[in-house]
Amino acid sequence: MFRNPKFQKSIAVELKITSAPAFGLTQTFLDVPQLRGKFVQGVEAFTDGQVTKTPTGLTVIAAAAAKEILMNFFEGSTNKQENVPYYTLISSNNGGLIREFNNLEINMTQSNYFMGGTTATINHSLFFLFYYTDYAIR
Amino acid sequence: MTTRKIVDNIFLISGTAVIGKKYFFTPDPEINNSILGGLTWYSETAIDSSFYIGYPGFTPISNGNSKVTFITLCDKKGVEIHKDLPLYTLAPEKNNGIVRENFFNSDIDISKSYVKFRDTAAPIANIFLLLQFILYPKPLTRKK
Repeated sequence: MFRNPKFQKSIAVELKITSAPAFGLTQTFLDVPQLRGKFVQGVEAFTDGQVTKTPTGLTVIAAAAAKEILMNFFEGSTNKQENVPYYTLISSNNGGLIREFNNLEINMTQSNYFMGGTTATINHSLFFLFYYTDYAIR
Repeated sequence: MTTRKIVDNIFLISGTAVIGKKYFFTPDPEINNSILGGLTWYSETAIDSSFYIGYPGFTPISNGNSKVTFITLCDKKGVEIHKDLPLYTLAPEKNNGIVRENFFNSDIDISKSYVKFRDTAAPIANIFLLLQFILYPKPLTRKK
């Protein structure tokens, strides 16, 4: 099947859990310079079922923890992708498909996770692959 | 219609891999002179190592070690355009048969691109990766 390719570039992004997991815990991403002014076209998330260590050596969260995490992706100060279950971003759990966005000018330092339980482990990391383009595409 | 071509690339690690070190691909003019449309890795689940009798002493990277393996593809200027791609996401048999061929006109320099490993319980030594590069002769245009 021919697809309309749109993933010009990609970058792995880690989000280390720095507080004890608890209901209501939120935490924003650190700045990712490569994504400033860029347009995110898709995102993929992982658990230790697919990736056990991040590129910097952090332990990736367990599969069971994924069900307790919701993601919020901001554009400026607007929450454009609200409460997206982390589970749904895991491609291998969802038919191998990558969740696609349409020219999301992501604000990483506003984007965050919301935790709904205590299954995750402190100092473990959420792990993503962001696909993006330098320019908006039609 | 733009003709698509698939090119094999056997990536070898001799000895024990050093954690965090960049292992660069060997030069490949066919890849460098084409536009990359996608990349695939086939694990030991998909292909038996008996096919690779030309690489005695090497085994396919284990599924466990594949989870700490990352590929970075750089362009002709050495800019990292696909940074730290987890090997797992490139395996169709681990992703419902989906081939990652949605890269858009990645003009890479394979000899500037590299593989890195993180720490794992089992040493990564004398392994190979079977990669397939999906190439186009010229940049694609997107359908409107």
